[in-house]
Amino acid sequence: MRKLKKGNGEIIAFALIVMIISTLAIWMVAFIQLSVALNDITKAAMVTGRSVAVCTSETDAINQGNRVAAASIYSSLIDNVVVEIEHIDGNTDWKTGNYVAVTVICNVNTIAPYFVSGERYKTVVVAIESGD
Amino acid sequence: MIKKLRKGNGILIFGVAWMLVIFFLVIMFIEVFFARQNAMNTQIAADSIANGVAVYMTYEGNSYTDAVRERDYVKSLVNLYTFHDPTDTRISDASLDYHSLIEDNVVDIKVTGDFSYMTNLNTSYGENGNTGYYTVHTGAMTEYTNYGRDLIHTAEAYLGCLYDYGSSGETNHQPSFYKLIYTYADHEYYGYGDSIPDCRADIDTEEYYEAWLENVGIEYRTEYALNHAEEGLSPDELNQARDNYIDNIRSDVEYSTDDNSRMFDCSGFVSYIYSTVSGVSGRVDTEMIGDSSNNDYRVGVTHVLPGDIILVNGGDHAVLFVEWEGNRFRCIGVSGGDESTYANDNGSVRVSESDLSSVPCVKYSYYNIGDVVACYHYSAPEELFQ
Repeated sequence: MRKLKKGNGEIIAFALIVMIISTLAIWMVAFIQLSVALNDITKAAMVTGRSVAVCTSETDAINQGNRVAAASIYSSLIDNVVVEIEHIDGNTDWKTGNYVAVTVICNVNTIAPYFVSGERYKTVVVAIESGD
Repeated sequence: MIKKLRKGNGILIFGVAWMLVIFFLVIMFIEVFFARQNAMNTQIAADSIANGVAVYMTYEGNSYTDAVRERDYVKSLVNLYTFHDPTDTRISDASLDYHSLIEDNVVDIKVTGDFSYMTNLNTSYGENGNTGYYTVHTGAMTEYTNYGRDLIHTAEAYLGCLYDYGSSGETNHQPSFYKLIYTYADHEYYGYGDSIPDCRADIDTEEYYEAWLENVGIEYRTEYALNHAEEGLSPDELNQARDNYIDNIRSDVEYSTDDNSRMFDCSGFVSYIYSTVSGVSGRVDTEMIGDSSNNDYRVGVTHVLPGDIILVNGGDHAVLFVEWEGNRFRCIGVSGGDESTYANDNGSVRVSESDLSSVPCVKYSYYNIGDVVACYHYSAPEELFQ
């Protein structure tokens, strides 16, 4: 501390401000990336839900859902796309009129390594249209 | 104020101003982020509800009230599994036309989601000052029409009515007697392959009964007298026996004057129901229905809807589909074929407890998928009778 001279405080403050502003800027960009990624995931969930609804069996639905979800996401921010299907109205049969929750789970990679990045998912509720 | 500013104060003011700008930018980004997510969630909820209601109305729903009830059910599922709770969901009554007979309907739904701003800075939105609303208007097609339901309801009104076999199926039961009335009335026999333009159910049976009694009945009296001439009856006894015989016939025939005692064969019944509901008259026999197998009205067994026509028994029998019961088709119609179908009653309403109790009638019947030759979904009766 003794070696600090007049004017050094400005440099230190400048360095701190630069770090804070850079951090804020990174987080803002990261939020924009996350928003774009979630938009893609939402769209993927919607088209995946439609493709699942018209499948004739649960096995077919899972396969079809994974293919459609992977094909509908182009963003380089997203990887590890997985689709999960859950029966939600007490029925376990793949039958027309029953409801399932289709969840598209992805890993989002933004320029902020923590908090904003990570696993994100979107769930849609769909009615089965082509069951038994 | 200006005089009191010293050297370097400008930088301070400039820095504070920029800090405020950045602060508000951050707030703006965060609010836009959540507003955007909320809007997408609202869109997803709208799609889920619209499609769910559309599917429900296609296969089960029967009225606008049903659609509203299903809408609330899907909304609860959406809330439970997507954690999004729309503030308001409405289905257009006009778009889901309860009175529609022919065209498919649209589930026209409006879903409104709200989201709260982080600050009270913007008071121009929403009723609460700091609450914004995002409304999505979306629609989904449904195959729901009231047409099929009306067909079934009309058909069910004839449960228990007499039917006639058609030309290939004579019977020892009373229907042969009823046929006599129509024969006398110059109406050709109404069965397979015949081309009578309208269903015999439209015939006023009472009118023809009275005519028969006055004319053809005489021949019966004579026939009866000849058949019993060698029984040693006195003229009075013979007359009394003839009168009793005629009275018995009269009591039976009076059943045919009842509104519930109309006669059909299987395809005649299908034609009559379609004609009654649509107002488009016509007669389509089973063979003609089968001939339409290459047109656009044929559907797979898994897509059959209430009121659709199903050909069974090798294509010789036509019935109307009512609903699924397990893996079986529950249908309504009259039994074609022969006397063996008597036992195939399945809960139909008997005509009476008299001698006619064994006469088969309009009834529910059940068929397995393997029995089905073809299913037809006629969107409009004009297409059926063309």
